Amino acid sequence: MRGFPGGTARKVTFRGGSSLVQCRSSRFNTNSCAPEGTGFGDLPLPSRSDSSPSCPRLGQPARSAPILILSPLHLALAKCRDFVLRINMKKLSFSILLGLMALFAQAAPPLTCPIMGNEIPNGATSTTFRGLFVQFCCPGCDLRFLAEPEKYISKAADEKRVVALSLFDPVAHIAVKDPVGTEDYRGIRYPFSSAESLAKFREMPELYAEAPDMDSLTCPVMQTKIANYKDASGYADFEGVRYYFCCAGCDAKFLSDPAKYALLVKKSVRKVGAPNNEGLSPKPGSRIMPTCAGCAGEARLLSADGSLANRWTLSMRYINERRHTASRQRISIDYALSPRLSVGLERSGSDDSTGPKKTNGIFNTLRFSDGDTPILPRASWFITTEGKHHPSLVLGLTSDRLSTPHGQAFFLTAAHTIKGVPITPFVSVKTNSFDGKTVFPFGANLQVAPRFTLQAINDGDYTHLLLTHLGQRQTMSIMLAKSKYLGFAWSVGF
Amino acid sequence: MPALDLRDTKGNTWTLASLPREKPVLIEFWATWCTTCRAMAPMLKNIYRDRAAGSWDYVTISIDTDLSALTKYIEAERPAWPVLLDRKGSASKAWKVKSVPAFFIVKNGVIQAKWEGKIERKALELALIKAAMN
Repeated sequence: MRGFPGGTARKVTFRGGSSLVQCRSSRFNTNSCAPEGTGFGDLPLPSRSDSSPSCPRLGQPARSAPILILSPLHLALAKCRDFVLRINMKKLSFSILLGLMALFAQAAPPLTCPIMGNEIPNGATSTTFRGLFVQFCCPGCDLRFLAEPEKYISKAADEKRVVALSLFDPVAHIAVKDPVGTEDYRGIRYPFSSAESLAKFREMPELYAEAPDMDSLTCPVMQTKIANYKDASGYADFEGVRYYFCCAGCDAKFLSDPAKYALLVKKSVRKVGAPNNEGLSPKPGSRIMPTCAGCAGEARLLSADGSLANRWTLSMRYINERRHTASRQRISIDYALSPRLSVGLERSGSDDSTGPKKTNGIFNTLRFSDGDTPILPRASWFITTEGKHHPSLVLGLTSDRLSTPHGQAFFLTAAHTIKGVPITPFVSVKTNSFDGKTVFPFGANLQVAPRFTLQAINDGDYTHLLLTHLGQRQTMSIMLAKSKYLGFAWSVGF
Repeated sequence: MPALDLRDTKGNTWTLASLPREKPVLIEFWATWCTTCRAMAPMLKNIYRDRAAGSWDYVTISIDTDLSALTKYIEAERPAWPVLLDRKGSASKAWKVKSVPAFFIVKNGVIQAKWEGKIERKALELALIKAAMN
């Protein structure tokens, strides 16, 4: 009879197994009882018209006492109440706090590609830009990013995505390898070397996140070139230029007389993101022809002033197949009228034994068919680049399949990268002039390593494989045409 | 009214719609390298502190491009009013600011008064009162 200082009592057992002890409690001047072992000593009880027994403790008769009709649910609630009352509130508060911190720590969103918005796969292509480390879902995205980096960072900020990691504490201006904390602000995740830095940043994030438009990757104190933002120990801003340092200690020297040191490296100051001799950003004039149809396709690299850096692309292809129906070599030249529209000319040569053979020894193996082989027009138009919810669409005119000696084809290709993996499948519809057939080529690009892609294509008749390296100005591919004939392709932008 | 689309040091975006309409707002374009601005700073701080609560608001727009100097100044002075950052000069261009300090008193979406250069406290208070009565 817990909670009963005294009074008469009796035990009442109810259906359901609960029982209670009824007695008179002098403490509350009322008859009260509680289920056996529950401790509900002070609950008012319903009336009971039975004759009153005596309290086993005090021997006093119980008056018409209310009886608490309790069910197993009430017993469970009673147990809970006892448990709650016994909890150490300080320990509970701390546990709840720890849990919430763990929850929020895990809630930091993953980084995403600034172009496509996809999550970053392992071994992703990456680049650095004004002290930021940026990764991409597939090749081609990096060059699109470097053409308009602020636009993509701003877009990510509006979409509440984080797309870049700052390499430096924005308050202390030092490189941070093991941050005590991070904070996301407008698309960028900032690391902090101390709690004080983090607190200052949180108070005025815009002030500390701002970065000048000009920077210098030559240490103004040691006058040594810094290969990459990742190699800098820190930076200091002076008169609208961010100067990066090669090692700790240089910042203090610089700040003692910034005007003097800034003058020493005046020639190394450049607009952020502009090309430099170290190749830290793509040189102007580079034209990339990536195989990720969704990400960049015919992406053009823009020069620092935003204009098309180069417009011409020369491409060559050779396949070691000697059958007369094979188009062994092809040479083409394209001109970019705009970032999405290019036109060109191509010439395919077949080993057609019915035609006259060239007698020029050195080119004897590279036979062009008879003089009737035309130089054909070609074009491609990126109707739309890939978006989060729609594929890229390319409409074009090109030569017919690899297995045909001549002819042209109109094609429409749709491609979309699979979320979370560096694979871009594509499908096409192609109308060919060689045999009048309409075929449905399909295939997929797979990023196997930074700047390397593997493409498998079925052109409606045969399956071909290509392994491509995307360089700054050139692309090179090794091919396995029709799954058995080795080939080679090369293109250069200028 | 000229356009306004800037962020303050706390990251809040300010547009014309952010400015209260029912009371005057004193907008000052300034820079850390401007000696007149720095000379007037204590007076402006006092007049802001002494104003009747809610009588007028104060917003400053820094046109500094040297972020280190601006950061040092703000860390030292800890202004109690919003400091908007116009590093690219879009606002100063839109508001046709030729020199700093440049002051605008705005109320009901209209520029009630504007001037560039030094102003005495009494003249500023009078201008604010006149703007409040409009």
